Amino acid sequence: MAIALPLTLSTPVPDKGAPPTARTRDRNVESFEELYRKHSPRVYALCLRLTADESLARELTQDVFVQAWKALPEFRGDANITTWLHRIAVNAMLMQRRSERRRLARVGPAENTNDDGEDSLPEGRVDGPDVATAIDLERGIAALPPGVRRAFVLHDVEGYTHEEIAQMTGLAAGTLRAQLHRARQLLMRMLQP
Amino acid sequence: MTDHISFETFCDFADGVLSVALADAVREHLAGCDECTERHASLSALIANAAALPRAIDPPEDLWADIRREIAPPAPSHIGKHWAIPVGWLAAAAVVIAVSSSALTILVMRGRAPVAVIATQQTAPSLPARLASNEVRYTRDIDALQRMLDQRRDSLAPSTVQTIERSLRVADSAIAEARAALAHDPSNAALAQLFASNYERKIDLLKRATELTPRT
Repeated sequence: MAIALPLTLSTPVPDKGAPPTARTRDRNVESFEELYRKHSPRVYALCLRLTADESLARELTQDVFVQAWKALPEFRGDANITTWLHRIAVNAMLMQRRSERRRLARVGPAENTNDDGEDSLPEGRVDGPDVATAIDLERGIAALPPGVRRAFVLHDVEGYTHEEIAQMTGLAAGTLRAQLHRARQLLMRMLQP
Repeated sequence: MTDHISFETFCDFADGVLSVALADAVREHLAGCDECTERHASLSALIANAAALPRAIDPPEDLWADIRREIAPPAPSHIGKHWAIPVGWLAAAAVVIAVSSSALTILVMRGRAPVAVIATQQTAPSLPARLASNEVRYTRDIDALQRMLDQRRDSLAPSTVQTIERSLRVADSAIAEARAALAHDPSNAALAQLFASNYERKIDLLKRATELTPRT
């Protein structure tokens, strides 16, 4: 797992995305490029944190905008476009995880791990080569197991509520809550001096 | 609340989802327990730091180009223009593709795998996802151009058609060779580039073939 967050960050993008214009709903490529320029930094940041891998984040961001392009005619202009794009990203990532699990199931015995890291992270130790010394929140997030990382990124970084995350992921509120608590617990352990 | 506060309760307290009575009990406990106060401070700091992380990070510069190619593939150019291109050019181009592709594949693969085995592999080996996705796009463009060429086939001289078909076979062979080599060494960037350029050359070949003047 490799992640290197760039030092130069983009100009902050306002939380509330403006609804696309009629032209974007009609799938004008130039207008869609404007939409991409405006929203891709937030989508890419989410994808980078969800995947903890730059090449996967790139693929996922590409998937998000290709799917958004296809679904644009059905997009309701009164919805928040950032949330809409984030939802596509989360769904795309879930699909990717499912196909990866299927692939792993085909190629060999099941790995001793799960999305929540219950088996792969013994008490008192966190997986990852540089976690013990690299006291850095981004690296800590990247080292989390995928399921709990998703809960932490969506809730504590992106600020979505439990209900919104449940809608995006299809997970039960109790599961999400447990994943979030687990993520915080792991991160506190990683980040403690 | 006399026992220490559980981590789950701390999280719920921080998220504001505890009942009023429970939240009051937590506050009361915190006022008299240094250990829990310290844990609560650590958790609050973590949550605050996470919320303060940048929420926008610029994607790679060239990502839009890939997206644009996928959502609006470029239409085959020069449709309907019948420029006079010598038929011999096609054959020459095909030879260039074949020779350069083989030579480069041998250079790239030197010391890694038996080239002869790779070059004669007949089945279509699987490619890494990213290359496979590019191949889908190339194939789509090639199919569109091939259909255009098929429509014009009757208007071309039989010898011209033969030259085109021979040239395309050479191009296909170069693609297959690079593809097979890539299947053995999927992380080889030079092979990936060779694979892509062979496809682009075939597309160029087809474009030029569709621009050939009909026989008179």
